[in-house]
Amino acid sequence: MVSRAESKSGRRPSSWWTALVAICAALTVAAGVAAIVVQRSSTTPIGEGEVFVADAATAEEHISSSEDPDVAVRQARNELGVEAVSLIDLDGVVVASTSDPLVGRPVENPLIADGVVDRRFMALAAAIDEELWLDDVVAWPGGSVLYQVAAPLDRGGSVMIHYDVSQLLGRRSPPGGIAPLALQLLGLAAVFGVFGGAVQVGHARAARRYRKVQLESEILRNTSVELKRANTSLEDARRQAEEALALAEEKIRIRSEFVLMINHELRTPLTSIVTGAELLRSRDLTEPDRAALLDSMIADGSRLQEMIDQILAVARIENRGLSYEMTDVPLSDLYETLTSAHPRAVRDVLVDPDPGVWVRTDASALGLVVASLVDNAFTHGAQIVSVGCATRPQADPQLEVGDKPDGAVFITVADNGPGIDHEFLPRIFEKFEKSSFSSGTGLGLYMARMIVEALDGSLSVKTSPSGTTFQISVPSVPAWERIEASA
Amino acid sequence: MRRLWALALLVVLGCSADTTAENHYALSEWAVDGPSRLGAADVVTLSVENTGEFRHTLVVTSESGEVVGATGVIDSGSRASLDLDLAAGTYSLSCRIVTQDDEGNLSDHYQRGMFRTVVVGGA
Repeated sequence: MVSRAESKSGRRPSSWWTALVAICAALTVAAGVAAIVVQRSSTTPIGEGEVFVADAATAEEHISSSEDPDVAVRQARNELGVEAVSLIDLDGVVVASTSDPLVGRPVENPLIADGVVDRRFMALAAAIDEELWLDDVVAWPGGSVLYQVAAPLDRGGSVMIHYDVSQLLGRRSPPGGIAPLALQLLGLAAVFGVFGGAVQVGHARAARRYRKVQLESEILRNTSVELKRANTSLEDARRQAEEALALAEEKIRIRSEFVLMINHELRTPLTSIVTGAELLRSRDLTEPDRAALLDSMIADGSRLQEMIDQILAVARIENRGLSYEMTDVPLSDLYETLTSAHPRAVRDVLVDPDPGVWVRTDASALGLVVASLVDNAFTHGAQIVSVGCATRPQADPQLEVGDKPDGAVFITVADNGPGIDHEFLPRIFEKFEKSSFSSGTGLGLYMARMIVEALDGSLSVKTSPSGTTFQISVPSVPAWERIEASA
Repeated sequence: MRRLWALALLVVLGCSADTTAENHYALSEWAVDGPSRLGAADVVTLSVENTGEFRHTLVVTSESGEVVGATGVIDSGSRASLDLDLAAGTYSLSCRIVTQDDEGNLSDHYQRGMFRTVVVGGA
């Protein structure tokens, strides 16, 4: 704040406040000690000047606020508690006084008289030579001492205050009183003390406010974090819900397409068979037509059987999984097996006919995959399909499923067909997926993928309008294993 | 015999001269100069001289603050005497004139240093 402060704006201000309070405390102590030292070493007494000035101001207030000077001087005397208060005109003559004998008499003390004439403040304690009657009651004996104060009035003339100097000095200036410098130092100590106290109070308040702000900030931060977490959770939940919805929609779509596929792919040959059987019942058919019809019915039946077998095979694979017995086979033997099984397919060049290259696989399962790919190519319009083996992969496949082994041999099935629709390509190895223009169950490439993955290999595809290439990767046998086996 | 009278006269004159010097106080800006100790408690006469430029007074107060005597205003260069009946104890001699100039600055003679503590007798 605050951390803080620390507050950065929060940096916590405690160190500065503590230092300031410590400085104030030190200055307070220092000023107090200095005052004691000064007081002990000082004999300077307190004078009366400030008291006289203040009393004169009070008397002037009464005189200014009252039209009756006799009343004014009496009020002033009563408030100030002095011996007498007198009003003196510009000629230095007493015109009103709480001491009647003074009225009409000129100011006799030459110093006071000079002050009155010069309109200057003047005060002195001096002996009086004549007896005075104060307040018509108390006689002031001659030869005593009075403190006489004369202060000029703004309205003109002066006000004169008479003090009993013994009472004044005894009350206000006792011997050994506090020295002015010591008083100033004590005042300074008080100022520092008050300032230090105020600083401490301010510090305490600032600290409380800082802690409060810090606490609120912490709460806000925690709330913000919780909100972010909640937001993240909600976002995750939303994404999961969207994925679940997409998956559900996908399943619905697949199911719908599966129903359409069953409806079309199974019913069509079935209808053909039923219709053929009804035709056979009629006697109008010639023998050649009857033979042709029977061939067609057999073909449709075989097709039906093949599709049903495919569906059942997939169901079996998904329920039980696939497990093959892997054997080491020379690549050249595998090449012969795969290519000779498909007379319609053109043999490709064995790129690396090294007799030392062996493959670890199930040759019959691999043969099923290659056969499926060859049939698929011819089904989709290819006139030429080639099958080949290589020890190097094709460049930049557009899609690959399964894990390509570190040491691998590659079997390629390439065709010159019209290529695969790019929108369909990402789904080509999924179950029941097929392009809009093709027939079949949509299980052929899905099964090929399952088998290749069970053989610890991968299946990739690269397509263009001039043809498509599927490539199977299967593990090769490391040379050192072959050496150990032969030894 | 003549020598003896002359010696006695010198002693008397010398004592008188010493007594006068012991009770003499000078007022100036801003101090009361004079002895800090007076002789035996008794009636004493203080000789006060204003050696300063301004007018001053001399007020004698007891330790309790009671005024035991005061001079009138003593002009610059003038002298005054003050007869006091002092008991043994500590007394303060001070000038108690306060003036204020046109700018409001107070000049309190006592506070500016015109005071002196005097011990009378064996106190």
